[in-house]
Amino acid sequence: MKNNIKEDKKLVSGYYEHPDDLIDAVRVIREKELPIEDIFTPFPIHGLDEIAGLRKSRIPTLGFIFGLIGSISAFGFMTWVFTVDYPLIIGGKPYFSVPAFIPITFEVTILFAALAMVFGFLIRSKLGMGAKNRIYDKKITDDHFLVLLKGDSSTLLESAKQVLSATGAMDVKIIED
Amino acid sequence: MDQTFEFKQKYKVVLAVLLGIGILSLVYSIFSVESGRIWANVLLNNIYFLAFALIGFVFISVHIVGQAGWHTSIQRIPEAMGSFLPVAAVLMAILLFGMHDIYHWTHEHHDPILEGKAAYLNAPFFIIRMVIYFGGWIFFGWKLRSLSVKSDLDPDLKYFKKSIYYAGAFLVFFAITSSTASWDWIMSIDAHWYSTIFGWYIFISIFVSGIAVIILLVIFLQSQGYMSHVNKEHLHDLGKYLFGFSVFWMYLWFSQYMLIWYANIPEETVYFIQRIEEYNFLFYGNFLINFFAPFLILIHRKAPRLKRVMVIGAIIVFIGHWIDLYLAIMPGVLGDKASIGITEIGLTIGYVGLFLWVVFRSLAKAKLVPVNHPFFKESLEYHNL
Repeated sequence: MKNNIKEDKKLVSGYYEHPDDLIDAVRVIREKELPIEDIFTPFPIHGLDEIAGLRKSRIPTLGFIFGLIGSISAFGFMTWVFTVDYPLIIGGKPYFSVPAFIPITFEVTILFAALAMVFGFLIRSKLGMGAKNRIYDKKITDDHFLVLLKGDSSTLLESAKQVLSATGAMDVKIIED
Repeated sequence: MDQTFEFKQKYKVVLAVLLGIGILSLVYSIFSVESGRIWANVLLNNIYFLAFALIGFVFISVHIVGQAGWHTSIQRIPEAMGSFLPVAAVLMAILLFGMHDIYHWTHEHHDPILEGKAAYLNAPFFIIRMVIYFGGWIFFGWKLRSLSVKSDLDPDLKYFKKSIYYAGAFLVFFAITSSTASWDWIMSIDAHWYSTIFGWYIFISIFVSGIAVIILLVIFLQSQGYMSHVNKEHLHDLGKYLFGFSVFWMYLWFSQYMLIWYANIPEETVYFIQRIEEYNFLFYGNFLINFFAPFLILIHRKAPRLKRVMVIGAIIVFIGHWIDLYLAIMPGVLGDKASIGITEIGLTIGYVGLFLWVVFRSLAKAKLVPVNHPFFKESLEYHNL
């Protein structure tokens, strides 16, 4: 027997044809304190993050932490190999030759930071292989701007529909997710 | 928006005092220190302040060729910095009288290594090259500046279109001459030594310090009530340049150092051995002040958006790359006898006065913003985040 504990999420969507209309509409939505699920735009709009009240991305912090892990592990591993595990004299240099370790430390730092940021981004945004297709309408892949509002309760649903129509959105509809 | 800079009396007084300090310390040095040290200081400051003028035009040209928009809000500052070029040409010409003290290849005979390089390293060809460099730089700089100023009166696009060709040609000319000029003027001090990455290394060093000077001038003008349209976004971009090219400077510093360290050929390592043994503090300090300091100060995204942080970063880089050039020039000319005293500091202060005098005079001659530049409106709308 299938037991659906989680309630179905209801969303309200509406389109705008021009980025300026979208920005004006998002300002109104924020004023009325309606919860925004997501906004889809065919190209990046500068300043939209701030207007939509998005939290600052934590991807740079992730990159920094993994970069640090990468540099410490690369430098530590080389130090261990060349001083403890298998000391070899190469080119008449001492066992512990820092300048020779720097390029590899640098490369591994970048590798760790870059991979952590890519996979962190994919996981956090629920993208990657097997991701659910979240293109609610093909128009957003071309030239339209879509706002997706949460409509979990019936009052929220009504006011979301109302504010979208009032700001000039086209094709306002309810999506069951 | 139509404001023009006014070269007020109070600026003139301050700059005249700076210039006076420079002249006094020059007079003091003539009577108390050896001539090689004076000429080496003149060479150092000539190159350092010539570099700001050159980087002013490089900065503009790169953005014109790349069809960038944001730089137009501050474009007149690097243009004004470029007006120092003819003055620098005169100062370099004076330096020809001190060639004997700085470059030992001018007078040493029976040296097999120098005889092998004589086809390039000889005084007549040295002077011819110098004339070519300055001729080309001043010509392109004058063209770029006059096209930009002409467009203030006439909103026609033809001035901008023409400047694209001049900017591209200048960048090609600069790419070659910046490398050869740094061989001629700096690397040939240690005439037995050579490094193929040296031209790049010097170019990045002067690029970073040029950006630092642009930042300081922008913030100074804002503190005087000009350029209110320049906002955090433009400052952020200048900060990215300062941060990115400081890291790139470290990359080239390390590239040069590591290859020489690894190969361990005596004729190459002599350069670093001398600097590490005799200038230990400055040698490692150079690396700290030019890489770690700007790296740690500017790494946070919010840091380049704060004026105070940027002023600190830019001043550190300004001093740091002066030390970088000092380390490239002084040990070769003076051996282990170089030090930093009245001659070094006083002359540099004098050059600051002279440089700012020329720059402010040039700034006052045209509007502070290129109002008819096709990308000017775009630069006002510019967003970074």
